[in-house]
Amino acid sequence: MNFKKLAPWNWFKEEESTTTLPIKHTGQVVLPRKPPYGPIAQLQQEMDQLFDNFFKGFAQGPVGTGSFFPGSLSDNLLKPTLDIGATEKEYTISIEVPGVEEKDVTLEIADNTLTIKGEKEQEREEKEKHYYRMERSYGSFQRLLSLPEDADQDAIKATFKNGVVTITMPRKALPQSEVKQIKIK
Amino acid sequence: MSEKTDIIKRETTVPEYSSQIPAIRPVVDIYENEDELLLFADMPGVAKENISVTVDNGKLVISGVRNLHRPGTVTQEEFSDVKFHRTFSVPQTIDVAKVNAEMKNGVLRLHLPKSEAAKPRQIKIA
Repeated sequence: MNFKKLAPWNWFKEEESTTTLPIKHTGQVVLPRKPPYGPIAQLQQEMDQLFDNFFKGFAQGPVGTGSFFPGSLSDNLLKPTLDIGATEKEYTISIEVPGVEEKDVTLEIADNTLTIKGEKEQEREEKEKHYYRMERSYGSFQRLLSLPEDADQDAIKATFKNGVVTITMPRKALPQSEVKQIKIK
Repeated sequence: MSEKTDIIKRETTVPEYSSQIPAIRPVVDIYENEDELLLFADMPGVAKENISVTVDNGKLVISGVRNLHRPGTVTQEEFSDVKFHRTFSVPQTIDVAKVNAEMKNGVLRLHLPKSEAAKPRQIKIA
């Protein structure tokens, strides 16, 4: 059995490393944290980290709440929600970007990282006089995805329909790692 | 067995929609200008034919069902099949007959024109 196939690929390796920005404590004086001494202090720091990580994930919002751009509170870039699916033959990534023009979405691949970015512009239509509700978010958005080894980067296709970008990536057969026999002299 | 059922009585026990998929409120922007009220609702992934907009008795109901046909296993899910549903009260001044809607890039755009009587009028002094 090929266990490597079962292991979930970490698509968000890149994203996690870039979002480790200093946490803003608004309206609160942050004292420079002393390096922890002793096991108790260390444990406390670990607990703090655990909580931070938990709430970081929490900001993503529960599945299917439809809250567009959930991670938008923590930093300036909006983070549209995305789904990743996989079949034997290909990977499918869909991203929710309502109200974004096709030309305003850019997909880039560099160093095995797929960057989906763009700009959601506010509709400027007819002399809008005043507003009653402003619930939708506007601005730049970006998502980073680390591509798995078996994704065929040359055959990526993307479609745009009803405000959802769907990216399909064929999976290629990985070359078998060469087995080297070492002779015992 | 004689069972009288009033044809115009609404069956309250039977849900109107299947509750298989979660229902959520789409986020909206609402603007007003001299001629009309403008409503934008984010409903990504909903096909045009799966949207319904009704204005009845001063109540505007927008709803849409998102059916994402995704093959294979889903390894990461941040959004899923949902039913968008939201109700608004619209003022009497709206000309219901002239309401029109369009769908573009997953955004429902509703134009609710004001009736002629409600528009601001300049009265000339003779």
